[in-house]
Amino acid sequence: MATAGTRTGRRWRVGGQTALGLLIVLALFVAAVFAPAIAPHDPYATRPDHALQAPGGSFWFGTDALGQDIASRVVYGARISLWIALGAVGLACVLGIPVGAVAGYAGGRIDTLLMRAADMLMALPSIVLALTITAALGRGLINVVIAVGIAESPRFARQMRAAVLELRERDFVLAARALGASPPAILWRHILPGALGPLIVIATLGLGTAVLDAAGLGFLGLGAEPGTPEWGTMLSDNVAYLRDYPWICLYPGLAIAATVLGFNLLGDGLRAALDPRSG
Amino acid sequence: MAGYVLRRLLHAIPILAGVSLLVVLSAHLVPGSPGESFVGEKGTPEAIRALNESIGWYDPLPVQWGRLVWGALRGDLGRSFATRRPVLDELRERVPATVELALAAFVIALPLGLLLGAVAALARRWPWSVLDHLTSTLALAGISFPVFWLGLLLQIAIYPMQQRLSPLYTLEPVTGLYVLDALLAGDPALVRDVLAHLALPALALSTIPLAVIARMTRAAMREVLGQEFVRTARAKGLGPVRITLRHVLRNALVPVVTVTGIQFAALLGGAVLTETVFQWPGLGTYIVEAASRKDLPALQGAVLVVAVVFVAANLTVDLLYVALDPRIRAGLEGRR
Repeated sequence: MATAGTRTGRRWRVGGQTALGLLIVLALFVAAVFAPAIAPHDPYATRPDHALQAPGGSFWFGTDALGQDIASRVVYGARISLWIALGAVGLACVLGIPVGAVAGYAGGRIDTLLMRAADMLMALPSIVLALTITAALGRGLINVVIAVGIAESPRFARQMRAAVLELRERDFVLAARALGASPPAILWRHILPGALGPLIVIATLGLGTAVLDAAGLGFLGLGAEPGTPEWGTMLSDNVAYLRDYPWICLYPGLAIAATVLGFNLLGDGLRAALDPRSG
Repeated sequence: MAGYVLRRLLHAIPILAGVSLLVVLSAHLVPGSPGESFVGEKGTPEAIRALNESIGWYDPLPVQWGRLVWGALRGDLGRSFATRRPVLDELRERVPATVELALAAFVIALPLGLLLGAVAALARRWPWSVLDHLTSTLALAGISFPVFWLGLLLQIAIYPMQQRLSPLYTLEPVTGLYVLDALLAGDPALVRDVLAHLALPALALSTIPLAVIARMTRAAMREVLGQEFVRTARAKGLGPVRITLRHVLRNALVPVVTVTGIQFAALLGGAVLTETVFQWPGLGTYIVEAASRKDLPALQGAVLVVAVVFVAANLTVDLLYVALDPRIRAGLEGRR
């Protein structure tokens, strides 16, 4: 029943949602880069006489228990979330892609061993794995990046392995091999470009997961150091006041939700564009 | 078939062995000892040494790993640093609460997810397609919204009502499942009270599987709708309800079952956050407490249990998949 009507309707939907995702992600980047210009106040300044003020006046989103301006902290939080997300996904790529490439290319026992290791990391929900790692390493932004990055790495390994398996018997790869190209050169120059599309999709969705997990760790009090304007940590720092002063919880939460939604919309759109099978 | 089950069971062994190794190694990632990080600055060297010795910290790594695995096989996960009680006993008290929460979340998510997904799949033509856009966006929001934030919002919204709830510990545990225990006690007021406690966390937690099930149902039904036998059924003059239920939904269920099972395992991650928001006394709050207190034996034991549940859920899904889809069953038998 592929009538013309449904087809255009579908294109419109994909286009609209992807555009919205792109818009959100762009806004996030702008907030992160120009935080000092956008934020109305110093995000770290405490004002005991203005504590727990409702939104209004120069405090757009109100103030928290220490009298810190929530709007400014949400804006600066974009910087922290983005840096955690990019760092974690970068680490996951650096760990996962070579492992997947080697597993797929070498095959046999090496493949089994490496993929079992990936299965093992995937046998724990990412937040539980990240929690175990930060429990050992301690709080702090770098440790959150490490924990979330390790937790996300098996996805990249699996995707890369699948791509290698799909491409390694293709004519152009066989030709390169016949010409005497070394396995690393084949993987880097001939297979990686072909695997890039799905990897970009996974990375985009991974940025959303990283923001979500980092905020979750922050909320549990096992993420960034207390006092950091990280969205999840802002909630855990003020946990005793959330019920009576709901704006403390509302705006950082909205920021997390919008950011993750943005990455997911963009990732879905990219998948539709880059992955022919999703058709 | 039996061979396949056996192979899948064997597959679980290296994964669990690996997770236990990871659990042992993670404690050695940083300088210092578990005893030291548990008691902190004010601990005496003797107290630190005693704690470390209680978990065999000074033994070689392979010995530590072997002891953890051997202990786990015999049902001994050591004693918690904080309470000095056997970790397994503590987990036995906590796990049923998490299972109950997860089940309740599914009772909400499964029918709603199927319904939303089916509506989205069938609403192909303007103006009904608006429904499709709406449910698709809602489903994506369900995946994107932090579950702890939804929990907090629910709590703030329902706070005045929540204040009237009595603490749950008035209930004598029999099965450990609160709803079942309340039913067994035969007190309708108690049942209502327990359900009131369960409703909000279950609702918050249900958003994750709800969204995923709805998306999967939509995609699977769309695929089935495009197939020849649906056209045949329509040509035979079958009514739309019968086609939808008997032919489309039934064939679309296989991938939905898979996703549901995987979600059940993933729900444990969401439970960590949801339980913390609502102070639900389950496995999730136990893990967070153990991690915050640096209670290494408690954390190790709890993480192992999570891994076992995860592996068991995936195994169940794989077996269900085979049972549900005759094509896969035939493929397996053909391969032998």
